[in-house]
Parts: sequence; C-alpha cells; structure tokens
Amino acid sequence: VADDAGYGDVQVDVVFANGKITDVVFVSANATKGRSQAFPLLRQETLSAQSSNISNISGATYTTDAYMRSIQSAFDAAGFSG
Amino acid sequence: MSVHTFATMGTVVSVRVPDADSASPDRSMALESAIAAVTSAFHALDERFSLYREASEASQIARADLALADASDEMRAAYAESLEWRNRTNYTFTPHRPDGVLDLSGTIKALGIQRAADELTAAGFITFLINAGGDILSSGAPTDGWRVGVADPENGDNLVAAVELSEAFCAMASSGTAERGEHIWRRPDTDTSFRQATVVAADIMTADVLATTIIAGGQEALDQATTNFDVAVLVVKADGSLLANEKFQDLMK
Repeated sequence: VADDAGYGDVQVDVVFANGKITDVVFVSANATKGRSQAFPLLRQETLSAQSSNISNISGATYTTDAYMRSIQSAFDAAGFSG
Repeated sequence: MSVHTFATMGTVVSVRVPDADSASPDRSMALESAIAAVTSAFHALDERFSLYREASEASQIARADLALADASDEMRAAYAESLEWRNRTNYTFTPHRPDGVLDLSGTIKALGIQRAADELTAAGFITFLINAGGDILSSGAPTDGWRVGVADPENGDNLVAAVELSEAFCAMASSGTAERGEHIWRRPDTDTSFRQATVVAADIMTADVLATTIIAGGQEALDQATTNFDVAVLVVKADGSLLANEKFQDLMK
C-alpha cells in the first residue's frame, strides 16, 4: 500500500490474518520532507507494542477528582512497578 | 516498588522508588525526608504561581497590585524562562493569556518535577519516577524498565500507545483538551484537529512546553518541534487518528 497523505510518500506493509489486520510495518516513509516529520501511525501498530508492564500513564493533565477515578490511582495504590 | 502520592497544583503527584533502594532503615529515612522535600517544593511553587490562590504573587501581579519588576527573583526567572520558550517556539508558546494576564503555569509544573528530581538525586536515589498529573520524569531504570502508556483522550482507561523511557528520552508530557477542557490558549488561526500531543524528551521542561506548543500551534508547531528539537512525538487527532515521528516509533519497540 502506498499513500500520499500530505506527508510525502508513506509505504506500509499490512499483514492480514483471518481477514483482520494484525500488523502494519512501515516500509518507507517519505523522501521530500525529511524523516524528522511525524507521519500517520495506525492504531493497530501501537496496540501490538502495549505490554502489561505499564504503571504510569501520560495524558492531558488530570484533576485531583479525575485522578481518583483513573487507572493511575489504582496503579499507585497497588505499588505497581512497571 | 514504593509509591508515594500527594495532591498539589490541582492534581496528584506520585513518586516511585524501587523497594530495594529504600530497604535499609537509613535509606528508608532518607526517602521519607526526600519525599517531604519534594512535597514542599511543589507546594511552594503552587503558593507563589497559582492564579487560583488570591494571595499568591501571581494573583497580585494579575491584579496589578504588584509590578513584575518588583516581583521575586523566582517569579522573574520563571518569566524569563517562559519568554525564552516563546522565542524558541516562534511565539506559539506564550506566558500570557489572551486577556494579557501573566500565566506561568505552563512551565511551573515542569519546574516542580525537575526540583523533585533534584531532591531525590541529592538524597542519593538513582532510580525513580515522578508523575505529576501525567507529566513524567524518570531517572535510571528498574529491572523491567520504565514503561509508560499514553492515555486515549476519548477514554482515559484505554491507551493509544506504550513506550519505554530511556536515559536520552527520560521525560514525557502530554497536553490536550481531554481532562481540563480547552485550557490551552490557541491562536485563532490554529487548526483544532489535534486533540492530544505527547512529547518525550531528555528533560521535562522541553517535553511539557513542546506538548503545549503543539496543541496551541497545530501542524506547523508539530513540524517545528520534530525538526528543531530532539524529541519523540505522538499526536492524537480529533478523529482518533494518530501521528508519530520515527523517534516515537523507536521508543515503542
């Protein structure tokens, strides 16, 4: 699959298994704008990288109330190491 | 892992230190006093810089009861640092609200995190992680590494990505419109398709300022950040799609 999404040419290999996307591999990304630029990333790719060893989460700053409802507070209470 | 949490600056800070590093009675006491110092460092900054506290120096300046020229050294240093970041970000990051009020909160949390790290380092701790409302600074690495998730702005219980922090990329900050609403002042011409920006850098100030800058300045600010700074960036757009530079993808591996 090759696509120009406004970030130069991005070429990816999409791996299918049982009709579902299981992996997306970037073959080449861009020639014109320099590789420092950000380019689209499919969620499927980030999902495979997620591990159970996470104990900290970054997001838009949570309020004290939101913290109480968050998984971060559960991680902190459990003393998860990460 | 021993985890200490306390509330400050309208959010919650957690500090993690491996159990083994505070196992002996004297290290346990050292940790306890370092945590106390960390807590007071945050509280002191909050008391001075919070615009939610009527008596704070920042509020006095906002009311024009105090001129910036007569303000404390710490206030003027923070202002100078914010101006420096304004220049480095081509005026996208700004220490002023649209109504002209000086608002240094964009750098103060990062300053607190850096001071907290300095306190822990001075107390002899090498491996630790400080998380202040989702802005994270790590030092050293425990056996399994410091693995950090990026929250999905649509649903904080889901993650959009996970990375492992390293010595060169030890600090991570996110900015967005998820938890505190539209608290970032965007220029009127900014495209608002960026919902959340996460920046990983070698220091927390760079990560924090650039995350804010990318939300404030959109695509142009993103391009400038990835070109001019040694940072890993992940953006979640309003339609749920993601943008990342190669450095961020390297951290996911």
